[in-house]
Formats: sequence, C-alpha cells, structure tokens
Amino acid sequence: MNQRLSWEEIKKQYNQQWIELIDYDWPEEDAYPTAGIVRVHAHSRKEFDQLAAIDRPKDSAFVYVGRQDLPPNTILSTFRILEVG
Amino acid sequence: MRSFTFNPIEATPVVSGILSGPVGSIRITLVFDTGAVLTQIHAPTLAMVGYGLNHEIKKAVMVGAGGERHEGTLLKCGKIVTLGQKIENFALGAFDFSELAESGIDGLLGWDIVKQLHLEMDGPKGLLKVF
Repeated sequence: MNQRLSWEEIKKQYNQQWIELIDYDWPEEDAYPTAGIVRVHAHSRKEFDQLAAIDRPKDSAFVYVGRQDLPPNTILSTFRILEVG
Repeated sequence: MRSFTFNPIEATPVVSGILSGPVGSIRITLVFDTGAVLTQIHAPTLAMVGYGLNHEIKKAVMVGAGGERHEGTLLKCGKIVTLGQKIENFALGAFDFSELAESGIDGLLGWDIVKQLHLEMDGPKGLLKVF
C-alpha cells in the first residue's frame, strides 16, 4: 500500500471509499489530486477516522473516491444557521 | 484572476482546502455552500491536526433547513487555505459530519469566507473564477 498511484489508478482501486494520501500531488486549482500514496482507506467514514488517527503524518490529504453516494431519494440541503451560547 | 475547478456532475459543488493546525495539516474537500452561515468542518478531522478543548470558544448548535439541531462547538482555527485565499485566526464550527461524510464531504465552506471573495461561477464548465 506504499506504492505511488495516479488518480486514475486510485479511482479504480478505491472506488466509493475514503482514502488518506501522503506524498501527494494536488494542484491548488483542482478539486481532486493527481497522484499520491494511499496510507489508509475505508468505506465507512467512522472507520476511516479511527484508522487515520493512528500514527498521524504531518501532512496528508483526505479524499472520497467516486461519486457522492447519497441515499436513494435524498436531496442534500446544507442550509444551516448558528446558535451560540 | 485564478480559476478553480469543481465537478458539475456531482450533487454539490466541492472545492478543496488545506486545513492547518497545531500538529499538522490536511487537505480536505468542502462544499461551496453560501447557505451555511459559518464554515464548518468534521470534528474528528479538526482533532487530527491538533484542535481540541483549548481552542474552543463556546458551544454551538446548528439548525438545518428542516429545524433539525446539531450540537457542536465554535473554535478558533489557525489557518485554512482555499480558493487561493489564506484565512487565519477565524472562528469555525466543529460538528460531527459523519452522515454527510459518507457522501464524500468533509465540511462546508460557508458564507463567512465566501463573502470575502470576488468570484464568478461557470456552472456548466465547473469553474470558480476568483479575482
């Protein structure tokens, strides 16, 4: 899992998973990286958070690979107001 | 002028940002969300770069469009770089985004940051032009 992969290779191997990349290339203007080494990966975000918390690198990238996986008949609405106190 | 890309086929426009904290930095994906009053990030992601109780400003509750309430905290963030802008020492929301995270989202780039930008969106081409 320490092999440097292109984004196309990552998409084939880790579709619909959260991945953490180290030694990554990610042009500032782009929404997605172009290459990197996959340090951890998981289908569930909770499992991913647990794995990624172990032996934290100083610099890494979190990416979800593949299309946004919204449940069927779901519309994502993020309008949120804030109450503080 | 700089152009930043997003995928117009996706359900939401997602841009990337580099979140920096006391112990490191993580590049993350955020929904470009003018409907969120405040930038918000998944609490475990914030913890991984060193944000904790000593950065907390106060408790906070986010209220969604349907009235649903989510408890979290307002904390002082050291730095985030996104859309070519460096935003430092600002307040952001730390909430559990586990449900949203399963949809490929690490947080929301909210109106507090978006309103600081002079930008133009080309939706069909998936471009955000920042002047």
